Amino acid sequence: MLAGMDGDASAHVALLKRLSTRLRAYFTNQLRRIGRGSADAEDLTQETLIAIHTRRHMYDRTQLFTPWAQAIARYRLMDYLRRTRVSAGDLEMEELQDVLCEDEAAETDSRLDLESLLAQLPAKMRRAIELVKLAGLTTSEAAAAANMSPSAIKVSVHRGVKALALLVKRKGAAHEDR
Amino acid sequence: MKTDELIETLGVTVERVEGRSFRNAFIVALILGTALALCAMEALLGTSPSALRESDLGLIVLTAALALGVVVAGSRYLLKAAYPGISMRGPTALIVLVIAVLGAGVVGALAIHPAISSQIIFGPRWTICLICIPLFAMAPFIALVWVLRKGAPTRLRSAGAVAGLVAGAIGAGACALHQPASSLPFVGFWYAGPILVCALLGALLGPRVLRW
Repeated sequence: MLAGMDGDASAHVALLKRLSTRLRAYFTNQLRRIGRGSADAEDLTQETLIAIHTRRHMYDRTQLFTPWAQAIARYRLMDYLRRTRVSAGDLEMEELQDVLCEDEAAETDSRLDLESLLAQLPAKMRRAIELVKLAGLTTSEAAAAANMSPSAIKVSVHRGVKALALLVKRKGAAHEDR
Repeated sequence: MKTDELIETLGVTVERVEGRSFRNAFIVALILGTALALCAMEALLGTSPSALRESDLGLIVLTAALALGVVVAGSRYLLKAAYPGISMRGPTALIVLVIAVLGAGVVGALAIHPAISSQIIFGPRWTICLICIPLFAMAPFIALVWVLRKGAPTRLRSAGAVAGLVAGAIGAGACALHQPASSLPFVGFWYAGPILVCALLGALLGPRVLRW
């Protein structure tokens, strides 16, 4: 720091580089601890580096360096929190809710799609896929439940999945035609 | 921009910086603010040498000591507060003491002369102090804010409050040249009171105007 204040550019750059790692870790931790995403940690790191650079005349040579840098980093964090308290803070929550709603809708859609596709399969294949792929049973469990031999289940699942793939492909082609 | 690129950019211009530059700027701001406050007083009210001659020397000395004491203690505080990461215990204790003395002045003025307190409060010339001290404090306050923004204060509310305190004391000093205190309770109430009001305004404004 002292060399940088005396005009030694390479010492100054080395100092900022070393600081940037620590600052990034500090901001990431702090933001996470208070429940904000750590996405802005990089911005805060850069802001603090700029502050340290432009305010380096405000470093008292007789004092320790770490508390000085720490106080600036803390100030930048407080300033960031004050700045983003109302507008962005509220927006984040809204966005999160929107995302959740969207996800639910997509899931429902895909379930409906799957049901309509499965309905087009022969009953045996459909049952085998439902038991093994959707309910997550093992082949032998599914065989017992469906009153079929394990090898028949295996074959049905294999053929059923193939048939589904074909159906999806056809449906996709039909979409493109339209 | 990538952080590493930023660091390289910052490393391009690394001229030598002088540690004393802020201290000098602060003193300049203090003198400039005081001069502007005196100019405002001269333009609006004008000094009254006759009133100064007639009034009690003890009260003039007391008023001057009060204003000077607040300015010195406040400046000490601000000069430390502008540097990040420095222990503020000493200067803060001093400021608390100053505020306690000012508060005691206000309360004491009412306590010593309960019978004439209404006369003090609603005396003939009381409005001048109430309006003029904050008015004259504006220029020094702006000067102090200007210089503090060049520094790096990290506690904006307390820095703003002390800047208001110092500016209020300068305003009170200027006001006293036009209208010297007529009695001890007058000093306690009409000088100490408005100075505290200035400190309160400074605390309210600080977080907004001192951001950097």
